Amino acid sequence: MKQIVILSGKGGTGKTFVSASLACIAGNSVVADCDVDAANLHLLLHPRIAETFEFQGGKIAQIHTDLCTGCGLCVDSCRFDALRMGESKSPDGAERIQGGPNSHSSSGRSIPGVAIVDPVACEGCRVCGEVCPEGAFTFRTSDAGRWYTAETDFGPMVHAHLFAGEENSGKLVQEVRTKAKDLGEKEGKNYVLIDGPPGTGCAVMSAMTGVDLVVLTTEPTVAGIHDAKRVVQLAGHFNIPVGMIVNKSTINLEKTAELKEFAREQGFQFLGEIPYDKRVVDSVADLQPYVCAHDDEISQRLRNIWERISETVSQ
Amino acid sequence: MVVAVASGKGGTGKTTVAVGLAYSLAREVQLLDCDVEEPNDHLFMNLEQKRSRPHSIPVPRIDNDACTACGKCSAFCEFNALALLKDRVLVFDNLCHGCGGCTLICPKKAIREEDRPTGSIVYGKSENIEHIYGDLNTGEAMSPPLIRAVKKEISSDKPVILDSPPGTTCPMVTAVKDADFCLLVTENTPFGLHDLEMAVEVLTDMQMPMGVVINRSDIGRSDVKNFCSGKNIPVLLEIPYSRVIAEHYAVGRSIVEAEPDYREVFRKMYSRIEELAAAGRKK
Amino acid sequence: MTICITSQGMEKTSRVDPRFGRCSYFCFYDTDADEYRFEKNSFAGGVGGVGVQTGEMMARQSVKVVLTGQVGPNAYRTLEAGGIEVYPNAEGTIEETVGAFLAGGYTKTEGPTGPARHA
Repeated sequence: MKQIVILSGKGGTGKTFVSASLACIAGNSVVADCDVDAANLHLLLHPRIAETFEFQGGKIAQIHTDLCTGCGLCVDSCRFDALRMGESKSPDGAERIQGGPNSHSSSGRSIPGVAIVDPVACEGCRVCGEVCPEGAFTFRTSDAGRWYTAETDFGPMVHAHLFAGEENSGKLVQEVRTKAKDLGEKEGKNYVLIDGPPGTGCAVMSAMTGVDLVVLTTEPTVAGIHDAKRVVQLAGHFNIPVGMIVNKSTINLEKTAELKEFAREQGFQFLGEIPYDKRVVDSVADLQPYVCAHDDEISQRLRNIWERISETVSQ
Repeated sequence: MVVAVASGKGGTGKTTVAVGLAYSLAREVQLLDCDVEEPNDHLFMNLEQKRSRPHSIPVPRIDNDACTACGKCSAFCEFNALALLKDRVLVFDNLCHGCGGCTLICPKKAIREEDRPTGSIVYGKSENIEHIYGDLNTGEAMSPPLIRAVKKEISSDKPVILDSPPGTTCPMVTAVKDADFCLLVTENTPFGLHDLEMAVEVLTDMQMPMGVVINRSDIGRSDVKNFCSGKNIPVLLEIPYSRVIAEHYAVGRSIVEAEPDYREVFRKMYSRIEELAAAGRKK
Repeated sequence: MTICITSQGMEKTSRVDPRFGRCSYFCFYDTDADEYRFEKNSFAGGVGGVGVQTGEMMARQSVKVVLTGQVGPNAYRTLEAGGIEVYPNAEGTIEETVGAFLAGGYTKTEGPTGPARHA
């Protein structure tokens, strides 16, 4: 079973457009949507959810306001800007600070001289709890997201949703990866197709680890090239081969040539190019993978790209 | 005033809008690029007086002579960055968040902190813009510490435009936090709309005054405007698709170089933002 | 001596779990008493540094040898500091794996078998 991740560095180059069509063309595969921050693949593949799992993040500080004396030691000790002293007087003075289990609100009535936690900034290090002379801190585990196993018309899919403002995206990506791989192995699938997140941070690294190929979807722009190079560098760290697709190739033919030359220099595969076409943008509104709704030269290019991908990973 | 430029979906045009807006204002401004994993703003500016400094996070170093292997540091660490094995404490730099807890808690004061470089902060100037951006080393997992360090450079005596990372999770929230206003850049596609909804949810939770810019507004069939009016979010600007803008973008030239009429458009939008931000503060 | 094998289940007939820190169960086999003991892995859902925690736990339990699939850099460094030998690429059932190890069928690794699994 081969694992393939589609990455871009920069957002908006067409990862999801490509992943959806590859899921349709490849056959006998498991799809993993690892763009857990802004997952879009489900909009094209329409997964029917089979199981839902809770994802727990790190710890979050909570203050017992009746114990807080407003000394401010916690605020001084926090390195993540997650604590501040309440300033404004509330009309009814004795109101407790509210923040439900998942409230990201940093408002709530402030009692003068009582510390307030910003649950989004809080990294759960517990230093505040350590320095507080009154023992006013407790720590709860955050309910940070959900992940799902599902069925689509193209096979099983694992996807996730990280709640707003949460961190530990890398860990959630890892859950999705592990489940996708397990499912793939149990059901004898040939491929795990992973739609990756933008950037080069921990979520991308979790999406990339242990795969057989990084399919770098890039665009012929200064920003696209800059960000693609960072992904190539990261793949190098991990010792993973790279293949490149140039999407919207006709917006700048010189830069497309520059990208092809870069691929050649670096010794990685040029998998294909897709010209800029308004049809492609509009096709997203069809809410289907491109190759399912169209049978034209763009679909043919996508099929050729898949051919080259499957050849590359089978070597 | 700090105006953050964010989006749910990546690639909608944050950089285009942030850079265009900064160049358009007829005064000295600061443009901060907090998309530290993929900073792009500088690609559109010919930066002069460029300089940089390393950014580090503190990691613990154990004085093995003073250490009695009590294990308190390892037990305290939430991130498993310290391990006690055979009377020696191992430090795992890549797991350390730099909270300083172990240093605090060691009963023998056997831990001191050392700087571990994770990226750099780059400074430069272009026309009316003082530009500062964070550049995270590839292989580094965490962007928030560098984002916070860039934000420490926020000037109080000129307008600040802050380009945020895409998405709606921790890096975006860290960048946008404490801004006076947030501009959300989107596109009229199902992906754009879907991710805009999530971004609006986050900003609403933060009680952040916001407005929307629809980029490539004549392409795509989704109804972003309808969504915005339903939520009482002003659509401050629609930028129709333009081949000229796209071609300039591809070679690193800003929207106001491609179509200078946008300068006036951005200036007007900024005045509107000032009004909306002031109204937001009164609530 | 105590050997630890990462396991997918709680039986001798369960298969080896190739993951180290995030495996489902740990099997502790006492070579002198020829006894198997199983424990659920409580670290598996942890946020980060799971390999480190697992390695520390094994050192506390006086494990001398680990049989597993892969170990990343943090896990390997922890095990090495704990004086624990690592035999990767283990396959088959727990019982088969133990038998193969005792017959000299596995090779020790001198370093991590793969890159970091970033959480």
